[in-house]
Amino acid sequence: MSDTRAYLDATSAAPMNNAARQALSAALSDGWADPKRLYFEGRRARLLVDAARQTIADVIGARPDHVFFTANHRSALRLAVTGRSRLAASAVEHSEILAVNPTLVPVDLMGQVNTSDFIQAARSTDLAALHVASVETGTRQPISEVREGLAGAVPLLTDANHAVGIVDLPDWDILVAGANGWGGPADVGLLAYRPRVRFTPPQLPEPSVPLAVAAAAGLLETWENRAQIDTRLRSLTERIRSSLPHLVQDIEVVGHPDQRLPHIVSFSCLYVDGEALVHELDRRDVAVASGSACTAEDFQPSHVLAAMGVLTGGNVRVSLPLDCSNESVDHFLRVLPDAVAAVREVLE
Amino acid sequence: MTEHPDASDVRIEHWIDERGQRCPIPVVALARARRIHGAGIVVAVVADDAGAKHDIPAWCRLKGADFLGVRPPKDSHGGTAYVVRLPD
Repeated sequence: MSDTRAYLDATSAAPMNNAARQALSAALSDGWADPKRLYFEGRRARLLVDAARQTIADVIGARPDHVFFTANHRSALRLAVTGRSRLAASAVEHSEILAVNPTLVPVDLMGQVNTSDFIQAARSTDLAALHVASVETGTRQPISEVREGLAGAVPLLTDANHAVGIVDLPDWDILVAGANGWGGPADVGLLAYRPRVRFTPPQLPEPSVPLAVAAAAGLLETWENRAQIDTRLRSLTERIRSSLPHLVQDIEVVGHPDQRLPHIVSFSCLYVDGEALVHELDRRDVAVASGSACTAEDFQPSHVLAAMGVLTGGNVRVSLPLDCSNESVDHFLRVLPDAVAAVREVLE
Repeated sequence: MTEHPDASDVRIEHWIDERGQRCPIPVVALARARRIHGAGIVVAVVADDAGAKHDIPAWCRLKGADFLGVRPPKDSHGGTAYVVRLPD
């Protein structure tokens, strides 16, 4: 990571961690062959990808034959919802889930569903989707309470993107994630089922063996260091959350202050064009994302922010890479007031 | 997010046309209206920006204003009128 810029958009993309990078390099030498082939090189590749699958299965607590590598997080989600006709989902689930027109369960101002409301909606469906946390705001959902109330009546689809490897997962029926969120490579997704869930094994191409190996190594490194990662990143985002109202006026820090992932903070500023603010921060060597309408391809605000009823204009989404330094956060907080002032509309 | 209440029966004291303006301008116009007019005055901000639907109610919540709902604009040039009772 450059020491002159603060890169704070890990939920869009982040470099692999060292373990993933090293594993990738080694696997490029040994894992390039087709694992379906019977000869030595193919068997070597097969061993590597099977070992990668086993490693990941062990971390998430699954059987390896119920763990699938997909092209990315989005396609894992798409596979998880395919063929399910009656779905319920929180209003803040990923757009891939919302695309199949589930019964939506609204969220409160913090972005959380009401447990009873979700259970009630789920009961009349075949599958209910409730993510571990929003990757836009970091806010966690009451999955354990929902599971307890449902008592196995309906399987739960748990989108655990940017949560696998970082936090202890609640019990799940169908699990989905993207490897980049845990420090693995981009272009590797994860789809896993519990034996108790009825599912058709997806017809999938073989994953890239080197990428699968890198994903497994990356997950192991993050998982084994998750306590330190959580402590360090949570204190950084806590500092951001508590500093913001003092640095900038007319600001709304969104999402739950405690029930959240350690590395994500979202805030919105009144009288500010979100796209202009992202540009202004980039000019000051800070990379962040935004949920504002003006920054979206379809010019609609983030459906997550909209569902929460929070301010969507002038929104900044900060997501810290897992190796984020104090200096990066210092830099961001130092330049933010000037960046906002540079783009804030004057009221008089 | 639930639909906004219907404010067609509310008496509007000032109309503010911000159609063609994109975020944050409609909300800025509302904040300016607060400075110009007194507390309790009912204004309608007419906007066609995608963010206004969310951000005008959010501004009301942040500033202690009453968001009274939505209604069609007076003319036929499109957009939505967001009706607000200004705060102190």
